[in-house]
Amino acid sequence: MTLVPEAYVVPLTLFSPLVFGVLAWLFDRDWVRETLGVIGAAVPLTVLSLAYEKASSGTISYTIDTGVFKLHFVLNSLSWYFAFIGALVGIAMAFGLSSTSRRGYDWLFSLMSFTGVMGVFLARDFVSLFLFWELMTFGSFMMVLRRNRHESLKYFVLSVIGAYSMLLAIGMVYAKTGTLDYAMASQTLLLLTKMGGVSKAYVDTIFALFLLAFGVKAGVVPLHVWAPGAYGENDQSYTSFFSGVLSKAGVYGFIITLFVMPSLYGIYFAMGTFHGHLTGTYLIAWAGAVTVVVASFLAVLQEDIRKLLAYSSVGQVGYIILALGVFNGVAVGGAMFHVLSHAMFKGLFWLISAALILRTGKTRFEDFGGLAEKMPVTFAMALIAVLSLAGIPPMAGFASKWLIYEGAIQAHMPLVAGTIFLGSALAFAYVVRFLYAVWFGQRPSDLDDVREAPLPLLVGMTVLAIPNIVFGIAPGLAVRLINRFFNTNITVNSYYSISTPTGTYNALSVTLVLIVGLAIAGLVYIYGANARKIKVTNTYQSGNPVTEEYNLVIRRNFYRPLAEALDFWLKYSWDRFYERLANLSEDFADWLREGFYNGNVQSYSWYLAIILLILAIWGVL
Amino acid sequence: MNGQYASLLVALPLISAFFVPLIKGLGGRAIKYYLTLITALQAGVAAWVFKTVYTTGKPIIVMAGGWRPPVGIDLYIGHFAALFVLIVALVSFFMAIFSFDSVSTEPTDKYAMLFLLLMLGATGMIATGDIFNLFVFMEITSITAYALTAYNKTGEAAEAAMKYIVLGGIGSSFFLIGITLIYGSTGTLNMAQLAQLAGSINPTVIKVGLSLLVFGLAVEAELFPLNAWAPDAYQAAPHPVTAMFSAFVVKAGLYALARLVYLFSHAAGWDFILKLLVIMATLTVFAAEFSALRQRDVKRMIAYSSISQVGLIALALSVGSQLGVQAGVFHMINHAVVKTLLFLTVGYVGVKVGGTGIENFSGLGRKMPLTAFALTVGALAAVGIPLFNIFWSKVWIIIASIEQGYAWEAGVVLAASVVEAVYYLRLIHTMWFGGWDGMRIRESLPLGTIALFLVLLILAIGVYPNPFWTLAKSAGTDIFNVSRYIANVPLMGVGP
Repeated sequence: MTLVPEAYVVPLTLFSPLVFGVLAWLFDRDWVRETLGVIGAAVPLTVLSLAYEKASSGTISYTIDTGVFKLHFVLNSLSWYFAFIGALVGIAMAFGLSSTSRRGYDWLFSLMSFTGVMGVFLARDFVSLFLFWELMTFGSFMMVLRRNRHESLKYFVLSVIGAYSMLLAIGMVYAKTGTLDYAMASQTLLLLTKMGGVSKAYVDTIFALFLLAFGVKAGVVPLHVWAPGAYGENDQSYTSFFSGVLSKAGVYGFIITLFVMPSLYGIYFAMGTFHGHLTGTYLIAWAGAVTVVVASFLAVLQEDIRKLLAYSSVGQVGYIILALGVFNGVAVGGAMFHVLSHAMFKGLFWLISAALILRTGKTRFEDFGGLAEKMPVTFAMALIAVLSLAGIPPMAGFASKWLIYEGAIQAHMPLVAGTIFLGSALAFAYVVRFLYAVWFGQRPSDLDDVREAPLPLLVGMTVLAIPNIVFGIAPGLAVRLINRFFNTNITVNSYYSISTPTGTYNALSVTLVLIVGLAIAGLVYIYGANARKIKVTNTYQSGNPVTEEYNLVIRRNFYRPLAEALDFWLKYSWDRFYERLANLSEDFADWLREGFYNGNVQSYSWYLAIILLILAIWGVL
Repeated sequence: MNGQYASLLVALPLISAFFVPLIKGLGGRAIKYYLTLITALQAGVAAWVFKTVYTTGKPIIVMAGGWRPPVGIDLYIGHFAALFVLIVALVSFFMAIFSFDSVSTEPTDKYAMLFLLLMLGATGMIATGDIFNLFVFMEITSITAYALTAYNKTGEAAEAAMKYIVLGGIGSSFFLIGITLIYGSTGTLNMAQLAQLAGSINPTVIKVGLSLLVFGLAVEAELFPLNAWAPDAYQAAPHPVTAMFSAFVVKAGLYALARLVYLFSHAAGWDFILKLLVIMATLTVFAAEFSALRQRDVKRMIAYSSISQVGLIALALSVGSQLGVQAGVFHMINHAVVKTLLFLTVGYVGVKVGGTGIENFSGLGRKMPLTAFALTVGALAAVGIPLFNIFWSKVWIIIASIEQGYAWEAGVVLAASVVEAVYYLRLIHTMWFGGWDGMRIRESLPLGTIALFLVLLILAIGVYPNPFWTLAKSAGTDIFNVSRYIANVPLMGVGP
């Protein structure tokens, strides 16, 4: 703490990315730009690490007085947890960008969104939240705008709808309570609901508007349509941050509505119950569950590596939303844990896809193959990411998913728990494809001179790979952090072992068993098995004749039978629905303009007459 | 200095306008220099007035001929008027400079005269303390505006001016009838005295009178559905004039509307007028935003955007709370800055590239980097991105309207703002990432300076809004707090 005085902790965390981003944009030279950018991303991480003691035992507040509003920021154990995850992915992104981007523009806007996210995590009042929320959206939007106008507009329109819902909700809160501070507003609101000062519908509207606002950013189905385009049509290094952290800002918003404003808690009770579950949160749980299922199915069917990862990201954030909606200690603890693990493994995934695109220039599975030999380190990283995402111990992804599952079972939500299971199976299906199609099998001849990913990218990947393993083997570390700000009901027996009321997970013993098992299998493979070496081209079809039209290889149309089975459902697409809606409103705009501003002065005079008539009628009555 | 010198605000442009024919002999450029000089002088006077009013905290009351109101006509330069007179003068000064590049149609001497009279009219509307005087200044403003709309001598310009004349004429006739009714019932035209008497007038008379006044002003203030003339006029008028329309002519109408409505806040049926205004304002925003969506001409698109922002101001002014009025005034300031910048840059592109169609903006980021940058900042500000000025006023307007129970209206306005984001972002994308024909255009230094100044102002207000919010608060209170207004005017003890 002595290194960074307390008063500087929050401003340094908030503003150093933005300031260095602007500097990187101004001094747009090789090396200078990259150095500045990496420093800008490193400062928050350093400052937050140094402030750990203070933030976990107390709070660090910081206020900016703009005169119009007071902006209030607090670093406590909750905001530290989120901010630290953000900063960790942020530094990895900065290393990635050093390799993949040669533009000051990218640095400026990616670091701008970095500042935005930090502000969202640290804000303690609605105006700061909204301000930084918009900053974050704007930065990320500009990253997409440069690359694809259509996708960026889709992203922006949905984000703006979200932002304005939030603004409306904030206005509604302020109008009744006269304060913008989370805690004060929520207390006053609770008091007012009890005294009957605000109607139930009013509170429900606030609730719904907040959920809409945060749901867009978190990518909850059906508000997810921006995600595949915006994540895909972007610098992939930036996407690691975009998908890893910005989506968590949406999750954080859910946490604010559910827990930081505890009075809404009382409001959920006011909303009543449904089959023994609180209606408000039960809805959230199902929104998450639908997201998991829909996004995972869509991820399985993708032929483009970026689209696959994007849908998978939507699905994984769905788990977090689902867990928050389950609304008991274990599940929420799992959700918080999954925030960490998803940021780590999905950040890692995107950096890997950045490396692949940088080195090969290809994005579709059919163009890849056999890269494990060419990019061994990246392959090792990919293996970690895949294991973590698929929820295989001893990776972080397993521990968090296990907690969510336990939570859902405890809350007596078997159907919801079922969707977790289904989602896991689907996740396994798509990562297997990623693993096999990209890294194994036949290598297309044009990939023969592919080199290993550049050093900065590898550094970035390592930064994200280590937590995947560390928190996987020692889930107690993460749970201990989470227990500081939320009573999760999960006991930490040791670093390696955690217990919920219904079960215990000892990561170390699982790891040991796994290692022993692998060793035995390896020995059997080397000495005992009747193995023969065959060429990769020597495939077999289980008696099925292969035709060109129906040629399913892992690199192309592998899950086509699934697509055919889902034919009925795939006819309905949210993307098309939104496109149609957009077209409709454009047509409406034309109709309105041509109808109203029709250029005919006579009809204009009629408008005057109508208003006069309204006034006259009122005058008479 | 004696406060009565503030009458120069009206006298200077009027006298100077009459001197234009004398300068005419020296050639077209001399006239433009003259115009710049006069507007600069006006800005100087306005700055002095502004400083005096804000340091003393007391309004300057200019009494014509030394007669105390209500016998004499007075100018009431309070916190609002002082601020807006300065804005009018500054914008006029900038646009006078812009006229060098953008106005080449003869006769430029007529242009200069009309330009000065337009400035005079708007200044007068903002400053006057007499309701008939208000009508006179409104007529000066609108008649010069009709003429300036037609100034480019094209068919569209003539048509646009014709529409403007018809609608403006109807509006001001009804406004006059409203004045007559009220005068007939109270025997006074002085605003302060009217406010005093508002509660005691026959309810039917005041109802009809007020609604006619509102009706007449709503045409000038571009409220739906009385704003149909506006897009045509904005598009057809010379570029500097369009900027002036958007920056202060419409504001003068809005101010007069708000001032009269709040003066009569004790009148019977006042709530209905407010409700009607809120509905009209909301529809203004909605219709204008959607109309802008598929607009291929950027100047017209920004004209629609300007109308929608005006609707937002009208909404803020008519929610009927002090906060609302303050937010509305703040938005007026911000909108004046942003729209001046937008019309300046768009007009400049129109002059240099040869048209304001969207295709002329393709690759502008490399063709005219400074202009494109300024236009981008203006567009982002108009969308209401944080750290740009409009964000703050928009937030306050939304909060103020929800506070007064207009949550639905706030929702509609915000939904329409989504549309605004779409068309501005399309423009930004076209400018920076559209195809570039390889041409570079040298940008003029004075205009670049003005544009940069406005950009910095937008960012300064966006990052640290406090000083301007304080200004807006005192200016808004000036409109809202009628009893203080009455107390400030030294009324002679004559009753009806």
